Amino acid sequence: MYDLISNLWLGMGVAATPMNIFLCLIGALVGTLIGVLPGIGSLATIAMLLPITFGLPPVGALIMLAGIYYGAQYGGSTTSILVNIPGESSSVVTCLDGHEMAKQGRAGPALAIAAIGSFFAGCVATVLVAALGAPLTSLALLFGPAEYFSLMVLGLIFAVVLAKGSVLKALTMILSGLLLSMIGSDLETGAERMTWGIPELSDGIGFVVVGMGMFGFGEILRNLENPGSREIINAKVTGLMPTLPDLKAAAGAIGRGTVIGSLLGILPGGGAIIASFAAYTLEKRVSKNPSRFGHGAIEGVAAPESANNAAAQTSFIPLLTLGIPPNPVMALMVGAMTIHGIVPGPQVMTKQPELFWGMIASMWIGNLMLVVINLPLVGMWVRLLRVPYRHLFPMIVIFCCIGVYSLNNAPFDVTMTAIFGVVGYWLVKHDFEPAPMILGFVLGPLMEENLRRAMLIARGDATVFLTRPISATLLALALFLLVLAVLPSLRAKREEVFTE
Amino acid sequence: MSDATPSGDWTRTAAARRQYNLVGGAILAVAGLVLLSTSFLLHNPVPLTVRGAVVIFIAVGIAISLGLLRVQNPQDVYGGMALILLSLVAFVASNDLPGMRGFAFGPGTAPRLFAFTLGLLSLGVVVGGLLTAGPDISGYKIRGVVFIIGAILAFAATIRPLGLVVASFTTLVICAAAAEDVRWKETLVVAVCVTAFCCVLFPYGLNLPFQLWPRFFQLWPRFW
Amino acid sequence: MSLSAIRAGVAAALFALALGIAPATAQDYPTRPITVIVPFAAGGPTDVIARIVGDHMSKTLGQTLVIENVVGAGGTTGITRAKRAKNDGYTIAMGHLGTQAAAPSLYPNLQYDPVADFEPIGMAAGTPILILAKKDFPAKDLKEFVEYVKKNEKALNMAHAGVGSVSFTTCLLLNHILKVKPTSIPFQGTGPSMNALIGGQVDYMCDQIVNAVPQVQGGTIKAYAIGTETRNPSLPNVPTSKEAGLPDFQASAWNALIAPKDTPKPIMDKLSAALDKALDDEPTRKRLLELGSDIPGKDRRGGAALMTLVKSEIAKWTPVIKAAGPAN
Repeated sequence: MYDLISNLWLGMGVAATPMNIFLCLIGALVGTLIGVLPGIGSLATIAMLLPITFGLPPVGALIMLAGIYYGAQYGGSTTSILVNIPGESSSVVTCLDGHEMAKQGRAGPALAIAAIGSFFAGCVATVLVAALGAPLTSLALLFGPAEYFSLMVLGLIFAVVLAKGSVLKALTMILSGLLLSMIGSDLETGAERMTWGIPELSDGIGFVVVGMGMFGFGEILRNLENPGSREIINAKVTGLMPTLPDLKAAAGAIGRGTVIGSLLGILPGGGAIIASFAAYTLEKRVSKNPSRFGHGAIEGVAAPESANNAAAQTSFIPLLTLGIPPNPVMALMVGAMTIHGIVPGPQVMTKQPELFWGMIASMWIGNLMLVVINLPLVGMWVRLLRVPYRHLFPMIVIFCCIGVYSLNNAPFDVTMTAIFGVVGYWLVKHDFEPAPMILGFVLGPLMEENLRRAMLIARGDATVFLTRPISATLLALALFLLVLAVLPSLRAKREEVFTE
Repeated sequence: MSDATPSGDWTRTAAARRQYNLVGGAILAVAGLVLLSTSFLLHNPVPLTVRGAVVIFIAVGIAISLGLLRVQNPQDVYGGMALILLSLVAFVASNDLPGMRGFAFGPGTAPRLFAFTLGLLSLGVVVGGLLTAGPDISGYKIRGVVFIIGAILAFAATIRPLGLVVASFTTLVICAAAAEDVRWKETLVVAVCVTAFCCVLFPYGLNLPFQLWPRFFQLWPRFW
Repeated sequence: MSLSAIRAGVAAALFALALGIAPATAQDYPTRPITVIVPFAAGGPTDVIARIVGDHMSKTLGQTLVIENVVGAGGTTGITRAKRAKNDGYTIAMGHLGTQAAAPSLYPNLQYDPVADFEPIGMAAGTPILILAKKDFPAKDLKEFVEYVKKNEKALNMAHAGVGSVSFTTCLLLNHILKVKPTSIPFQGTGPSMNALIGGQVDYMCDQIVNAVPQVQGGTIKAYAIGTETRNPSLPNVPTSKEAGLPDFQASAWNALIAPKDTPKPIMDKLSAALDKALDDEPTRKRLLELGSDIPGKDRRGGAALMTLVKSEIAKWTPVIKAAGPAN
């Protein structure tokens, strides 16, 4: 315990120099900006900004890059709430209730609770990284292909639970997402799958393309159906900050979201996304009135936002303790470290304690920075919504187009987004929800890969999923949740039949 | 359920419903026919079961079109039919991929597995829609779809050859036409401002590699 | 015909007019930033080497070398784009073992020919390949490892980072030499495969030294041999494959700068000279060595040496990959 405090003190000493605080601020600002701009990913921006950090001392450079990373995570939720466009896969859930709140004139409280939840989660997760980094790593190593597969199955079941309407239709959406994700090169053999010979499809369809098309453009097409409705919404904007009842409702959600996010964030590959869905599902389950979810429940914003920010912090654990980057942005950070002559890995903690603890302390400062930057911005964002919709939507469209194009400099991606926009519009017309489809799309490749790996390692023995304890537990949990989700809808159907 | 249909729960008259089913069923049948004929163009022969399923799909489409099947819940029937079509397309598309090799999955295993499950579940949706009543599909706003999609496609077409300035201005103007309450003077002013903002923000502010102006230098030699 | 000639003439005149004066000559090169296409993700070994070398070359050439990461299809997407780029020296690429030697036999529909479609600038740096195994792998040294693998061929799981990756091709080489066919488990990139090796979910693999140094030093995995002529200063205790008794296992993931076909010779010379200078620069060397890189000696630098290397590597890898059969 004493060690921890003295280490954190050392870190504070490194991170709290004016220069490093300034770099952290710049990082958080740039991160927020690129997070808010739909489609501009943190990966592309960190890659672009990497050369700028060459001239900085290593600690400062890493603090700034880390600031961009979690700033972008945070900024992404702003777009989700305001215009229903998830910038990252982990903010898909935020769209569900966040945008609904905005439609009810409560964008201010939604944005503020996201900031507060993220700050709390970030602080807790940082302590966790500092105190339990090493033991938590061994937890992550327990996850082999079989466990990952079961985790993905559980994740897909979350998608069923969070659906508002029919379970059957949610399942069809998940499977459509899974099928879409199969497009592209096969991991094991490199064979092209369902690409119809189109070279642009050989690397699959990007998440941003699907997410932006189905959520963002689909939403615009829907809004255009009844002109003027947006202006009516704007007229009833109430308070910018959450009220006391709001805070009370959200407090539990923030706490639970933080725990889930911290734990799942350690798992490389899909951890953060599943965390946000899991946190949302849990809230809907423990809520006394689950029917509010999907119609602007503040817990539905607080829980996933806390979870994904906690996960963003704890995803540093594998990087710091093992030197293994869990996602592409982290891989870039490894590159940044090596360019600065630091070989990431277990020895960083012992050989360069000031770097290790400095970065951890800077996470704290960075989270504080984000709240300081974002709470005042809430007012500005809400005012942005007051721009007449006939002017707002062309702006959203052009920012989306530029964002999607900038991913690969490929006009093809922009065209695909247009197609998914129509698909999203069509789905809503037929009362299908896009969120389960997105989750299926994101988790599909991970699920297939791990299934195939597990089967290869087990030499085709499918019982491996049930004989490994963690995997079996996860599958049991998935089954339990599915039953819980199906039961009420069956009951409802029966009632429906009777009332007719 | 009604929250997903923002235009309100206006319902069609019996005649309008027949009309809708006539057209809707015909579209499904034609899409099925296209898939069927595509399946004959592929190198690898598509299995008879898949072709059979496509033929049944076409038959159901025709039956809907002629009013032989009573569509009680159009949302579910058409939605489910479209997803069945998607799963059939996936079967045809993944036809050439090898399946299981001993205990190892082949590239084609997972797509076909998912396509099969999707088809089965969607069939459930369709059957449900034929048996229980449900709301009509609200009308499409063709104007919105045409101009928004047109604007996005215009961006895709112009960004490479003509640069960011032309592409974003064109996109903004086409896009604005999607709104029924468009005011052209305001729109032009906004378009100019937003274009200027984009041209400062992306290439300079974020250092992203964008070309601002048309690349005539590269275009011309192509005409030789 | 005459009409098209007139058109061409008019177009040419307009073109010259548009440029104002005659185009800048190769002597003035470079007058604007040079794009280096790196066909792999930012932060990976190839990217880091490109950035380190590019940093110094920018100083020599007086123009920035901008790294553009064009990822996809085992790096072949980026190299294909480089092939189609204008051969004015403003777009060059960082090719590597996978894209320039293994790709032709891995991808039947490859859009380029590594020898005919590019001008060689020179080898930048290589990253040696290690034979790695999980912590509790029951073999003391490489000899025991070889025996064990041959005996337990059917029971062992070999990891690799996806078809077309360096770890994939070098593992094929190892299998080819040992004449074994273990079950190969594909992962999406080197990070996840390393994770699985540390966690003991797979038994062994081959990977670039950059990815493995911290793990080997930390004792979370074992390294049996390094596929280069000499030991590496980052891991001085790991014997070379020759010392350990497997001399055929020679593998280094070399990275080299290339330019599109028919890039003017003066430009090629300038680029080669700048690269050569960067590799002699002490701070640059130090940064590369910290990564465990293998910096080419004078005799292995320059365009001609690179061309020889590419040809010999293609000859070396083709039978290895063909022997493994289609799709591993």
